[in-house]
Amino acid sequence: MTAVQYIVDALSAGSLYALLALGIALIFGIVQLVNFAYGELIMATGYVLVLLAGAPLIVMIPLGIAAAALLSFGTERLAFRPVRGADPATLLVTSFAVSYLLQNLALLSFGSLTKTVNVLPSLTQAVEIGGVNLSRLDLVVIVVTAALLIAFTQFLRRTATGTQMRAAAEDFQMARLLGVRANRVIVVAFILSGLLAGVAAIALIAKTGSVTPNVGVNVALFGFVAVILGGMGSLGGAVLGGYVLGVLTVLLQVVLPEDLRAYRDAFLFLAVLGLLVLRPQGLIVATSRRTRV
Amino acid sequence: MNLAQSFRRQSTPLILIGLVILVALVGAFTTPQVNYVAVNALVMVVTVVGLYIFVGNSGIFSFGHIGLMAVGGYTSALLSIPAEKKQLLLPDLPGFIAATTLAPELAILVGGLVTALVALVFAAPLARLSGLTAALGTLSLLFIVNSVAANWNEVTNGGAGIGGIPFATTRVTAVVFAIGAILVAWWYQRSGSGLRLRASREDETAATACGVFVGRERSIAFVLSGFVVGVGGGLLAHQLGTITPDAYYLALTFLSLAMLVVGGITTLSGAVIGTVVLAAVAEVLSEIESAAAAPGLREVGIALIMLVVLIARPRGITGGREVGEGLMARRKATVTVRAAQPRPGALRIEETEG
Repeated sequence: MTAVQYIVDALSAGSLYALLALGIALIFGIVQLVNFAYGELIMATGYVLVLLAGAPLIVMIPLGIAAAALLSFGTERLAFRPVRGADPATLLVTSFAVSYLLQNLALLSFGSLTKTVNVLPSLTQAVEIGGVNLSRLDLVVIVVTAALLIAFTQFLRRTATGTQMRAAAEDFQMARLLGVRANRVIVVAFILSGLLAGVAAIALIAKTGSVTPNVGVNVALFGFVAVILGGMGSLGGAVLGGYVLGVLTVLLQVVLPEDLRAYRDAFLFLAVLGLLVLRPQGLIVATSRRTRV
Repeated sequence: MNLAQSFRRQSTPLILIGLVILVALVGAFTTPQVNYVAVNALVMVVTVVGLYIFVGNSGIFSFGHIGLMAVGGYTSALLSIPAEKKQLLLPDLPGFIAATTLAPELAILVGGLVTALVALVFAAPLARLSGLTAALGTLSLLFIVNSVAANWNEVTNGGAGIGGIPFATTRVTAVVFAIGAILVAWWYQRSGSGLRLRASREDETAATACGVFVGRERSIAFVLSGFVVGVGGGLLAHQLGTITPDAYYLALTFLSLAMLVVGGITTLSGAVIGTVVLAAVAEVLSEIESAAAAPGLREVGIALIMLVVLIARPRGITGGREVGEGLMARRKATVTVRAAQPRPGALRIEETEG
């Protein structure tokens, strides 16, 4: 492995975490909900891909992403809207219950066995650039994520809905008083968050090729950690947190001696806790999250 | 203070202790299968009460307590398995653990102490974080413990886990520990530290302004709750006879939180009653699940119950009140009404002291 390969690895893992972190932070900024059920959106995309296996990509990918967006919308309607306005701890536990419910519904319907699916077979081979072998999929993930992040920023900056969302994230009460329609902004946020999960799911499942009821749990948890690391409530912070986490993962893989490598995740989470001790508010502190007395 | 008064003041723990004894009696006078479920419910009472000591008093949800429970379980298992058996199973065990064989009950308590020490290490970062971030921070605790337990082959035997743990969690042991946990939690929530922490749960800024050092009280509760949860972990290991990293992971985290939420997170009564109720419901559901051969049904049912409680009765089935509090509270309420409607021109302050 050369330095270039490590950098590509770090950026590719970071891209995945950044997409997830952005989706999680988007919801959190507006309704103060840390959506534990985020991993199950990934799972939904996964099972749709399994069901559509063999269909042309142009059908599979949009439908897969749409499944995550639809499920995100559905959970908002059925579970999160009734508890809206409750304290963040209650919201957190509600989403935990939703996550568990969805996982076990998948277990009931699809069984616990791993389903395999080959999403982007053309991207699994390596490509040689300047004498190093790089995974095509990794490169595509990096580019697509960058494009999505730019598009997303433009959406938030240039469109009326985007501006309303930023206003709602800044101060929801004030935004409503100024005529922002709460339900509309929240629904749009959930759908966008679902779309991001769907894209991340395609990248993830193209890489691993397998789907289980708890396929989304671990990556979503990395997403949460990225959000905390970046500073809760700051969208830019969430993306930064995602990339930092990607770099940390690869760095630990390189730095740790052979016999400690199995504990990589333990060290990763210790490092995150350590960073939080130094900066309890995360890397970027959103102005809206400062406690004013 | 006469006897009736002091009884009324302590009626909550007495009623709850009565409830856990009742659970044990149900186990004693029915089939071995029901007995097993009853003992498991008592083990979960210890665990959920331990979880409550931190979550209920601080208002911060913890997803890391099952990780602490695993620490207690592994410690107790390693200390109580006979030395020759350990030699066979884990030949690379560090000398002092390999040579020690404690009575299971003692090992469970030592497991609790070791867990409290681990909790102490994690208390420092958690004390610095704000509520929601701290809740998510506790997740890292769960992962760290799970990752270590799954990979530290010399001590934990990795993912395969450890078998041959003495079956020491009988009905009597379980009920004694459950009573102990209830008394510890009751004592803590009425102690100075407990009251200060509960004040910070209601309004962190106001409590800080009144001179409460929130981080310190949080740490105290975390360590104490670590001890109780660690004991719960030991009890579970000695009930099942085996311990694996997966048994102390997300599924148990979910179940224990569901028990606390269904009962009502802010009261000790909620922790105990929620555990007993949900343990019974879970057992019925798993009967149906195995009859219908539909894996996942039990969890779907529990998750739905939890969601319904969260949406329709967010303070849990106890409604945010300790059992036995009703009598005194109602008397106080009538007094307030009388004070609020004084006869015109005849306002007497003595009336408020009825």
